[in-house]
Amino acid sequence: MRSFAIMTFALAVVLAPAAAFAQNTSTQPPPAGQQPPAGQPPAGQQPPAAAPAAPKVPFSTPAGILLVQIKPDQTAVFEEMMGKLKAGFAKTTDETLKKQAAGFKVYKSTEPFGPNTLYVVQVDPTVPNAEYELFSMLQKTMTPDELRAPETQEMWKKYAAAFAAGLSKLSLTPLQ
Amino acid sequence: MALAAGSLAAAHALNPPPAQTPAAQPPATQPPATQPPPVAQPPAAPGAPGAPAAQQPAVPASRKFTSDAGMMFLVIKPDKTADFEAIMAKVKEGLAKSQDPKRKQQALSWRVFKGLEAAPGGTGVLYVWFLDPPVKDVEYTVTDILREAFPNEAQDLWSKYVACFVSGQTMLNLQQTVNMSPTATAK
Repeated sequence: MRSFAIMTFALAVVLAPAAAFAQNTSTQPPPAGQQPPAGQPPAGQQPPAAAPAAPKVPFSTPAGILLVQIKPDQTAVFEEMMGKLKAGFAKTTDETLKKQAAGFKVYKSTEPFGPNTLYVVQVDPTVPNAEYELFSMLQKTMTPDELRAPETQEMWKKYAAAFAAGLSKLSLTPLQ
Repeated sequence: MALAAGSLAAAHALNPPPAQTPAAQPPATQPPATQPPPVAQPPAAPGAPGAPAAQQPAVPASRKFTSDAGMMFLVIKPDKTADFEAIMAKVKEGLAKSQDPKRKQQALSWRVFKGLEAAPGGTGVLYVWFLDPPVKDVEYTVTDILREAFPNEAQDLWSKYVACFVSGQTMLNLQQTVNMSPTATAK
């Protein structure tokens, strides 16, 4: 289901005719507070003790892109988040994260996406099956003290509120 | 750490999930109806003799990129991917044999990718051009490149090319915001 949702957005970018958009008028994000993201327990519940969870946003191809819709008045917040991620990459000792950083660029589209600002995250090369979910990546770069800091929860809320919709992922293989 | 994880989950629960669409939920990634999408463009006609004007798709003003980077999304019919890839190989060959320095420069940063995810209903295969950096203010119209390099084949190549498309092309001009690589230099 996730791949369908992901691809539908990609096609929305590509399939421009208004009819394609009209068929998806009921596909807005859920109202705030209604649903936790899939793969995570509801707030307040502990996740079951188990093997490390599979990445929520992995790539299995040599390259990929993430399409990110940000509310137009929240671009500075998203760019702050990306700056924080860059700073986190710079200080991390996690070898996987370091490899991920080496092929990770963020672009802002000149063209809007509907009412939102579109950012494109280009991942080239990918680190196969590493986690590319932005919040999880940022979390991994933070120290336990930083994660426990009172202001961190507000930071998550602020960053999450900047997103107009979920990420869209495209897994890409270069042509020779 | 557990507290932090809980905080992150709580942040997500209070807001639309920033990174995924929960299972069994309709796609949360569409723009509202009536909102203009990014520029969508059909493949350009080559303007070759014998191509009746009435049969040509609406041709965009240009395919010139004006920013740090550029992307083009192309949806290709599943049974035409080999044709499309053959045309892209012709474009590569055309750029390589061109005597125009700008065409040679285009070849240096023009990468073509094939998407893995299938389109809903199997209606198309997504290809992406990534141009980083593009040659600014130079046309990226495939049919122009083919006509310059292969004038005698241009009409046939154009017919083959336009037959590949499910729909038009979508062009994005991109400005680099952050390069996460520790070796990156600021643009």
